[in-house]
Amino acid sequence: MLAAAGCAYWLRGSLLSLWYAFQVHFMMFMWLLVSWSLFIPLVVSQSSVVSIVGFFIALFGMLFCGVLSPVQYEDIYNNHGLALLSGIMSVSRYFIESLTVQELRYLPEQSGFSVHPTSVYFPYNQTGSFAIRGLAQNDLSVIRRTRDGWYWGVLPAFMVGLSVRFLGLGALHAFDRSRQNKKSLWFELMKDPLYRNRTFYYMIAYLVMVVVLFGASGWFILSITGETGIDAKPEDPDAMASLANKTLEMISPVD
Amino acid sequence: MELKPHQLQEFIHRMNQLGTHGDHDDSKTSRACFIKYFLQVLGEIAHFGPTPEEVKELFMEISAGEPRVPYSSLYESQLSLFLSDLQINQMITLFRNIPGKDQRLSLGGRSRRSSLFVKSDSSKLRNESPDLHSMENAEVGPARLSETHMMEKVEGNPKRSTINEMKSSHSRFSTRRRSSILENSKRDFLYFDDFMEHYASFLAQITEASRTIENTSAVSHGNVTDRGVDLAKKDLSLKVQVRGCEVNVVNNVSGRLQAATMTALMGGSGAGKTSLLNALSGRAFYGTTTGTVLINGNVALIEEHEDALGFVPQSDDSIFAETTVKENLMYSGRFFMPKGTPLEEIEEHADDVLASLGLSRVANSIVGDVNLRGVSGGEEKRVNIGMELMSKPSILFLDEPTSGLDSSSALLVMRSLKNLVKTSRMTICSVIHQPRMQIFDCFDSLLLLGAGGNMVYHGPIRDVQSYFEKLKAPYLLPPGESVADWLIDISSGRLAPIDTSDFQSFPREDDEDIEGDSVTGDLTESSAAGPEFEKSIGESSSSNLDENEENNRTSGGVSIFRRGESASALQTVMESEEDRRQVLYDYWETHFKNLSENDKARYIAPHQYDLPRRVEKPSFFRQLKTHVGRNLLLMWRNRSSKLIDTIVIVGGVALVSLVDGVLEITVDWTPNLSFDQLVDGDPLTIPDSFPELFMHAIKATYPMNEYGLKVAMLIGLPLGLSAAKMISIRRLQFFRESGSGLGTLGVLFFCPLFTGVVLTRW
Repeated sequence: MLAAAGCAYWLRGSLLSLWYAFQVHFMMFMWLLVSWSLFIPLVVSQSSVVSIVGFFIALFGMLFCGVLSPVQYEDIYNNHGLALLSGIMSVSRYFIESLTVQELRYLPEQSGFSVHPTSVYFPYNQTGSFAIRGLAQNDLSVIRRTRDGWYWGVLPAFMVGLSVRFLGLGALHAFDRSRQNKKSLWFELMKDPLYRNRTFYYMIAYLVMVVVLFGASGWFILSITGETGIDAKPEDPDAMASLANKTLEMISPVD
Repeated sequence: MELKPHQLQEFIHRMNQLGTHGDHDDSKTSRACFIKYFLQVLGEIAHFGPTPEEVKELFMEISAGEPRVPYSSLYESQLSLFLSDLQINQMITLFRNIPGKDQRLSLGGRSRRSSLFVKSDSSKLRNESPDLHSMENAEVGPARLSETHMMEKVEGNPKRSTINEMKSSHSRFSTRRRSSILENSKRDFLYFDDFMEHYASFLAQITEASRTIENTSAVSHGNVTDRGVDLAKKDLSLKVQVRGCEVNVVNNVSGRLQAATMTALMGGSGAGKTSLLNALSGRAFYGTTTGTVLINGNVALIEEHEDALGFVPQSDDSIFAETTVKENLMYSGRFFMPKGTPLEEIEEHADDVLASLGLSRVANSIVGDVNLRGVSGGEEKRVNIGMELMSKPSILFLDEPTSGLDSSSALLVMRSLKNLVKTSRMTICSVIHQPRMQIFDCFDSLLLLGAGGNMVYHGPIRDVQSYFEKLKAPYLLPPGESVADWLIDISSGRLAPIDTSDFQSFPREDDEDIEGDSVTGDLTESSAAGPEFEKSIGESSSSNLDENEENNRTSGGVSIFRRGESASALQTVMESEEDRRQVLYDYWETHFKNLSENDKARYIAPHQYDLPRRVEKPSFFRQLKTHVGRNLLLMWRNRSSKLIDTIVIVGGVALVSLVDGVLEITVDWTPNLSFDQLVDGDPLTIPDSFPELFMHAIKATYPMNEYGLKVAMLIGLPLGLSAAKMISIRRLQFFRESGSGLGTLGVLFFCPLFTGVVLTRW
């Protein structure tokens, strides 16, 4: 995968690209992909694994990644439910968006150069083509038009991958127990005096962990990160006055 | 010709070994054995009690003139003509443990951390020269051999004709030899002087040990108590849910697997053999098990003593085809053997197991599968068994260990198991189908089941035929019929009892059985005993019936064992298979109840003695390390396919990148906006015109998104599918290994995160 990322950077990347951004995004894509490939075979029959995994990757990877209709980036950022669905289920959701953003993030064309960011009525979240296109809207660093922000999709992807793998760990324990020479979970919980308590506590601990992990994943998917660099809000007259002064200083002719 | 006393003892022992398959008395041999095996055994015996010249000659033949020879090659040497693998392994062990050898052969001596990816100890390697030097005093010194070897090499190379060149060559050769020794330092070598000094005594020692089996311990006892493990069961039943109904698949089975015996579990299709095996081994979690199990006379749950038991399933799905036979055993040992067991001990045990199962010759061969050429099917079965033996089980359960094997391989497997019973006091219980005569004779006792898991017979193999012949409605083994097949037919109810009025009409088996002790052969004679047999039927029946007179038994509408009822009359009501089976079940129950105290002792648990010790398994991280190590090895062995995968993925990305070309950041686009609108417009509505204003930039995101999507699908689908397929296949191995104690599920789950999936894909 590292070789593939290097190849993509070499053949496709521009002068503005970061080689390590390519590596990281390719790796995170594989992390998510393998997480689901690890989980699905544990819960479906062996005979239909290939078709189900293929269908899953194709369906969510294409239709819920934000590139193709009906689910596009604007929809994802405007609908939290859709954001969670695509963030968790689509293996390519963060990969594609992150590649695009890291490639184009600090070009003047993307940032709405014709409007100065210190303008009093500057609509800082609507000025760039990313905003119009709906890209990386949870990362203020991107909106701020800096070189930062190439890594904004890494943490959600990592957390989702970890959560799905943890789900897989539970599936490994819960399914096909007779093949593992174990009693069914139901039997252990309800009838087995030896393991009843232990199984119960393990299950509770596991469920708590699942909730925590998926909760954290959801939070990372929806949360807004980064900084705008603009602390002032239009409704704050003092702050706006201060901003105006700064603007005047900035646009003063240099000797 | 004159044989020395120890040669004579060995002569008789070997003759009896060849002539019989069970226990034998070495104080005598049969005429038939003598006639059949005289020449063969005499040829073998000639190797015993060798003179020093013969020892020297033997070593030179084995080593082909070299001063030392790898231990592993002894299995394929002339020694194999008259010693078994087990005996050769014992001899190797003796050579390795020569007192003071470690000091003398710090390099050549066994570097016990060998074979499996363990770097050799450099401090040992530095001692190479003194070791070689010390060997110069040997009668066939290494220096001379090296010189000869060197001269041969020199002669074969015209460019090295001068003395200087020879010296130079010698120097280079020494260097090469040194590097060769460094390279091979992980191997074990037998040296000439050791062989000369100890061979004769070791040979006598191991043959003597073979004759007194108690002294030999090919597979050390581990957690086996000195008496072995005795497993008795009382009214053992197993019920499973079938379409909402509870069905008995094992029904009130009582009996005993005596320590250090081999029990065959037989029955027709659907008789519940595997279910009983699962119930006995504590693996029948899919149903409800009732009844009592006594381990060494103690009431206990078998699943709480899983360290003491081994279970060999029918399928070989836990064997890794890409690894060698020995590596498979080594990895099992790392998981099974107690925490803190040194690698040297694991390897030694693996060598013992290999020898016990006759696998020493293929120890370093890849196991293989349908796609990868490897060892034979019989050897693979034995590897499967060997993996379980690495845990040093006290009791071993096997589910059809000979299925899919030709009769010769099957016999080899069963003899290996019999050998374990003898040498390790292991208790073995095996489901077996259609065993050939020699295999059937390997077993000490039989547990025969009928449909629904009901007992038809349980007892010594040698008594089984007479038991059925002495039934009130007797069965007769037809001439030429295998006893095993005959028993299956009886237990399934397909075979009807004979009409005793026609008894005399059965032809008599007059052929002399050369092997004499064969159960099958003996039984054919007794089955044709005519009037004597009839008498025995009467005795047996009447003795049983007397005690059951008060309780006339009725089952399935068939009344049996009623005083005065004739066998012929009984047969008339045994027309259906079900009726016949039911009669057999009832007869066994009655027979069991009426056994004398002495006979019953065979089926009742012994007085309590110590339970098998528990084994502390390696820690989570140790297991994880072993799993990761194995997966890395598998990846290395599959490196060509991994390379192809990599080329495909990188090639695909390169293709998409080349087709899409270098990213075009902007596109030609003229905004459809007026200057006045932007300059003089309402500041609050200016953003409304941004989409049009930045359309050229917005359009630049499309090819980038498109590129990302293409790459994601191109590499995501093949890699995702291959990872899923791999996990799906390995899942069975996960379960088998987990069920066998080869690592916890957590380990099995986390391991591929590091290797099997992640590293290969990253």
